[in-house]
Amino acid sequence: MKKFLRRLARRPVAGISVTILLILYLSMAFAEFLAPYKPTTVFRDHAFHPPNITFYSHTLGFGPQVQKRVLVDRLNWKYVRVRGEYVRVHLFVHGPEYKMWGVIPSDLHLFGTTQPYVEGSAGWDKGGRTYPVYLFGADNLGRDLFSRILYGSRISLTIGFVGIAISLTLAIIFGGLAGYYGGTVDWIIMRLSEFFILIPGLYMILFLRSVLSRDLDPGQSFMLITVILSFVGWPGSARLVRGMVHSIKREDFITAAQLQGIPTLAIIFRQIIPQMSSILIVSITLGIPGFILGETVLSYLGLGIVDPAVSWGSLINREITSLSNLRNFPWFLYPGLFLLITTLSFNFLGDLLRDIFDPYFRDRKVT
Amino acid sequence: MLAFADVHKRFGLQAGFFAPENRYVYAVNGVTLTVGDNEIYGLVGESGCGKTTLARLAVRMYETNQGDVSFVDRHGARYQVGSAGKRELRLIRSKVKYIFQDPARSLNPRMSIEDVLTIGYRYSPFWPGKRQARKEAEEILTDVGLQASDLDRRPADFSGGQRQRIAIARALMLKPEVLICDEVVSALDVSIQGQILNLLLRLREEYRLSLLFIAHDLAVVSYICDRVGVMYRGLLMEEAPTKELIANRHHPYTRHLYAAVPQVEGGAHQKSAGTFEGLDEIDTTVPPLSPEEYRAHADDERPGMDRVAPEHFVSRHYGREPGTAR
Amino acid sequence: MLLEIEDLHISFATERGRLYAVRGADMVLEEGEILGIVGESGSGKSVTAHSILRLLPSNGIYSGGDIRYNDRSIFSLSTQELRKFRGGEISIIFQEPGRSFDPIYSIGRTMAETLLLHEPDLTEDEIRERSVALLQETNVPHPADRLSNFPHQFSGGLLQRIMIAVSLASNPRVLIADEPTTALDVTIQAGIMDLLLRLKQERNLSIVFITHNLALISTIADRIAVMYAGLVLEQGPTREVLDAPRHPYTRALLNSLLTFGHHYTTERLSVIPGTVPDPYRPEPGCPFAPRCPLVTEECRKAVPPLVQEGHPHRCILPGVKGEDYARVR
Repeated sequence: MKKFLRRLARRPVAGISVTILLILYLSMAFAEFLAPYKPTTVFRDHAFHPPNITFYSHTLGFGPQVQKRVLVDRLNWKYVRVRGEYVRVHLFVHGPEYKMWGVIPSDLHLFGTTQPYVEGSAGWDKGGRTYPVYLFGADNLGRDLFSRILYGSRISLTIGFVGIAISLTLAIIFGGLAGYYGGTVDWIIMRLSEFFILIPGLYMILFLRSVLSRDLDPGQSFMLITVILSFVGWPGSARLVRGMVHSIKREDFITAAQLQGIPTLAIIFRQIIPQMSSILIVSITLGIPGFILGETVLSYLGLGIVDPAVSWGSLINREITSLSNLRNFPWFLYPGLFLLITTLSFNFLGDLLRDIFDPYFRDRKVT
Repeated sequence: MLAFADVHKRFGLQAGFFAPENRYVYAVNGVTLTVGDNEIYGLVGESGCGKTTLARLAVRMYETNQGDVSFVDRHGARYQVGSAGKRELRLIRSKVKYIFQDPARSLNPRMSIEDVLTIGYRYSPFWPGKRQARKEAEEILTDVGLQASDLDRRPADFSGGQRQRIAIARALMLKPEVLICDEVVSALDVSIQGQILNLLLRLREEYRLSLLFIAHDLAVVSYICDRVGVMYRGLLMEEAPTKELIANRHHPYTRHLYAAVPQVEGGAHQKSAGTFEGLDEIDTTVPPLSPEEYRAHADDERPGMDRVAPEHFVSRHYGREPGTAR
Repeated sequence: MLLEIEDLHISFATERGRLYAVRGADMVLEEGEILGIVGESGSGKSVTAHSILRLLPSNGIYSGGDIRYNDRSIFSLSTQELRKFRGGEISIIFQEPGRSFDPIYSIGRTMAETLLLHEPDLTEDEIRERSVALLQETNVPHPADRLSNFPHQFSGGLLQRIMIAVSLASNPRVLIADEPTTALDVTIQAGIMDLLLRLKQERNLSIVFITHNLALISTIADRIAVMYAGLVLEQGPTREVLDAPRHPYTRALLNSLLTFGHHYTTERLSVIPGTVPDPYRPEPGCPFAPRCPLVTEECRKAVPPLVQEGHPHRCILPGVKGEDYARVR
């Protein structure tokens, strides 16, 4: 571990990546606290509202605050700022109630406004009609994009792990058995994996997704998507595992284990597979972005996460990313930015891990 | 006692399912020898002579094409290695242990030494529980010259000689009766070889073991073995008690091997004779003897060999001087 | 004096700290002579040899001493000169012949590449002629036919001969052989030793032969240098070093050699007890002190200086170390 941290310090890009990932995952854990609003909170009068946070004003001086805006063009949803009208943003405010992780009830938020604000529309949460603060602007229903991104990260950031877990388990089992036994077993498993490779992944996903009912609740649809993606992904890793098992199997210490009477399954999964642990770790790290992006594609097409659930993919859906919308409301690209950063961070981390584990690389560094 | 009776082994040269060939590599071509109780039998020869294959037949890493290997344990129970069932084979493999040449590769680099020593034990019917097993592992580890605290370290922390000791300790865990040492000192520095050889001698006394000791260096074999068998082309060329072989070598191939051993006192360098048959490379896809020659063996006590002294046998084949074709 | 190494110090910067590989190596190679460097694993013999060609990895540090070829320090060579020097004046062959060849090139192609490197104007016919001649010189059978073969089609012994042939392509004056026979059978080994001796005689080739096998090198070496824990403990004419060793370690090594005819019932082999010292933490004093049967308090104080009595050695105890010395313990 110490070695890992030392190497991290020597490679700034990887170090930044790890930090970013840590921040993202921590934010995801405390989304309820960090987000000023629930993802479903609607401000009908503030559709397509631009980000309104600023840090200085003549009226209130320094400090986070929000400038009021008024809608002037209902057709193009243009807002103009009202001079001199600012609302202060406070830290650790009491806002809409929530339950942290679904269990701990609280109403404390990291930041928010306290100025009362009257709006006559449905969909308000009780206990806080305060002027909305938009870090990243609002969408077509006036929902705070920042809060939605935070809540959405829960799905986007975890789908990778769950998907990889399933995919890798399948790959290890099939690859391990194929590589060790060879012969007919190998043949069957390889033909099976080729079957899965042959089917164009996207079409299989679409097909499965549309065939199975669209009325699933968010949790179920999340699992379904993950499972589908894993099934498309496992053959590649399985072939990798098979090749390595095949070559490790010839090592003397494996023959020694066979002679000692250790059961075959124990040999494959407790002796051979651990030899590949470095490759597997790298494979995991580099494979997670694939799953994240897979979910993004599905949700973009409307076949993944749908309202009221939210993920980064669903935030980039077709409705809000038409060219004119992007021109007028550029903050819609924020989810894409988050996806980009996350994917790059995983890739850099994966590169770093691969270099750490590469035996030829290891001997060349100087203390 | 471990006995090989006219053992033959060949390997098929098939390229794959769609490329069958009727060609074989003839590795072992009719070897009869016995390793007696508490005896160290040395099997010596160049690479490719079949000595490793022969050794592996004893633990059924390969199966014989002809002839069989039998093992008689200390209580007199007799086992046929070739036809043993699953349980019998496991029993044989717990009493006849095979030690590999390269200690860097015969130990799983990710396992602690304790695991290396006890994992086979764990899956055997004699498993006494983790604590007792660790105690026994400690005893054996100190017996081979390492320390109890080494149990928690990894193979990478040890030198080649120490790793070989660990491999030997692993073999001793289940109280074996025969150790097959396949070139166990060949990968070590000459200054460490002596340590391991002396260790094996001591363990032979202590545990009343028999050893089948395989090497390519006559000097090593002449030190540690009681009897020596010289192999060439999958056949025994000569077999004799070590002392007799030291005094005199009958078969030309044995003399050829002897000529290659570097002698410090030798003074001027002896010119070596090149390959034994004067050939560039031996074609192992051709059996070394013709069917007629094999038929002529049928009534021999030791197939193809003449007895020149009570315990001394010399092969009739390949009897010409080195450098000439047979 | 063709090649001279004087008080060489080499260490490596590794993650575990500073590794002191060579702590004082002195040796001399005359023209047309075979020098054997003998030592156990970790004694620094390979590092010393590689440093002659400045072949150390990037974390290697030359912290002292000099290496001179033809009275010129190799550290003063420019990059251009170094390129001609390596493989040109001094060639090197390694332990595993299988790993020294690029497996996707035929040996003819490898040979041609080396020949052209030092003589870019050779024609194709000349290249072929020279390649065949070199293979014949190293006793590779049917050289003309086998030029188109690939490394995996040869046995270890033959491959080593081919390796030697390639290393001779530039007509070097010195050949460094780093444990060339360790991976080979005794009989093949003998053939390679033959070849090296013949090359010395026919080409006046100087050879630096590195090995852990004292018996082996004693058959062809003119001079021997004994290394232990990064120091050259003793060096001199072979017969002198073997018959009248001035360092207890050499004596102990000689006593522990296996000779054919020495059976365990006659006498148990005497082994050197203990292990080599930790190269990361060199102790003050003679490195062999913990294992030396003749050790005194003085021995542990400082690394013994190089003395010339008899032949150069590093032991403060005087005189030749005879048979009885190693039995004192």
